[in-house]
This record gives sequence, structure tokens and C-alpha cells, in this order.
Amino acid sequence: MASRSKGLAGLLSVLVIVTGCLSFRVEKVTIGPEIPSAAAGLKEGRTTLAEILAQCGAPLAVDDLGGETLLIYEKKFYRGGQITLGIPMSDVTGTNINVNTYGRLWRYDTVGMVLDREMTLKRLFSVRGSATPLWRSFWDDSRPVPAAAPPPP
Amino acid sequence: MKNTQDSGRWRNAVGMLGLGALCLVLAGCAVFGRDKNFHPYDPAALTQIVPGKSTAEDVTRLFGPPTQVVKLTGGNAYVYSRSLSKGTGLWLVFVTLVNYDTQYDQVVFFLNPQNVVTHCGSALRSGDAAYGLPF
Repeated sequence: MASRSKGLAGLLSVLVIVTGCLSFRVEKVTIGPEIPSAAAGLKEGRTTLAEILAQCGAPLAVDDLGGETLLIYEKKFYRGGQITLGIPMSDVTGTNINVNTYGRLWRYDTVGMVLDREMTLKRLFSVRGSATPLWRSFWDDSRPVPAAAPPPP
Repeated sequence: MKNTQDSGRWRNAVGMLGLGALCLVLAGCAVFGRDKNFHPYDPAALTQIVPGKSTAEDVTRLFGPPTQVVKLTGGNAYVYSRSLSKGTGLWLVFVTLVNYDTQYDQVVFFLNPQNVVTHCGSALRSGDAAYGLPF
């Protein structure tokens, strides 16, 4: 009976310590609808604004590019994680031990459409950040190698 | 005699595990939340807008003041936007799971310099916002 009580007390102590000291947080945020597929039948030089709106719906943003019009369709993806280790020691040492690490990654699926003055699609560009691997997107800090400068005339 | 002792220990261990599982469940909690950015316009009114005939006045009469006006070289764009976010949170002892989904209702009108609607488009997706887990 005594050993059972000790086991129960031990289990509760471990639970209290673990829940009080260690925490792990996983977050996911999604903002916006799926972006239209770049291959959705939109043709540069041919597709009109009316066709774009009928096919893709209203864009997230509209802007003027000095005579041309920019339409932006975008979906945002966020992933976050956090590990916190805290040991309440203030009664003994006057301060608490707290170690915290986190990682946050925003990725974007974006389609941009530039329309000319006649509201015909002039340029279409897109990027699918969500298609890139989560882990590698977060850790890869490599930068593109700059192009070699042209030789002096 | 030994079998009886083993059986008793086994029962104790199962009881401890059960108690531990109960603690895990009772120590958890959940939250569900809605976050709404509301603008009172009726998307059904879009059917009353006729490109080439309807004017900026018709648009503002049916939809109210736009969320955003974009000055374009060949006129203006009136943007109407509202959103619905649904958040889910789950706390399980030392693991916290959070999911947040935001979707928009977006209506855009393009107007020429004479303030006549030339084009309009809509994407009504706020109803697609969903609760869920971050997996």
C-alpha cells in the first residue's frame, strides 16, 4: 500500500514538473483562397480582364503601374513551432531558468497579372511557395550567386 | 503466491497508467474562436450591376462605401473586402496545437473615368474558413 502511494506521488510529481517546465507549441495559419492556376487558360496578349475576373474571381489587390494595371492573387501559409523549457527557481536562486526556441515560416503562393491600357493580359507571373519543402525552406539561407559583371568596354 | 503478487503488480501498473492518461486528458483544454471583419454588403446585389451601364453611384448605393479605392490610369477600382477567421487551439499537458484559417469575401469593380462600371468580379470564400488541427 505504501509503495502504491509512493508511485502515485511520483507520477503526479513528474506530471506537475513536466507540465510546468516543458511546453511544445505547433501553429498553422492559412490566409486566403487557393490561387488560380497559372495554366488556367490565361494567355498573354489575348486574355481580357473580363475573362480573368470570370475565371479567377476578384483579386486580393489591384494597383496601378503607371498606365498598366496589376492584379494580385495570393494565399499565405504560416507554420510555427516553439519549445520552452522553464524551471521555476526564483524561491531558491532569485531568478527562473527559461530556455526558449522557436521557428516561424511564412510561405506565399502568388499570381501576378499585368494588364495593358486596353485591359488585356500583358504579363503573368507566379510562384508557389507552398510547393517548396517546409524544412528546407526554413533552413536554406543560400543566396543566388550574382551574375558576373560585364567586361568594361 | 508469486502469481498472486505478479497479478497485483500488474493491476497496479495498469491503474497507474490509467490514472496518468486521465491526468493528461483532464489537464488539456480546447478553444474555438471566430474573428470576423464585417462589412454589411449583400453579394447577391452583384446581379444588379451591369457593366457598361451601372455607375459608381449604383455601386455605392448597393454596396456602401468601398473598403479601398485604387486610382488607375484609366479610371478607378472599388474594392470591397471582408473576412472570416476560425481559430482552433488544443492544449494537451505540454503540447499546444493552434490552427487559424482566414478566408475573404472580395468584390472588385473597375470604373472608367466617367465613373461607369466596366468590369466586376467577386470571390466569396469566407464560408470556406474552417476549424482544424495544424496537420
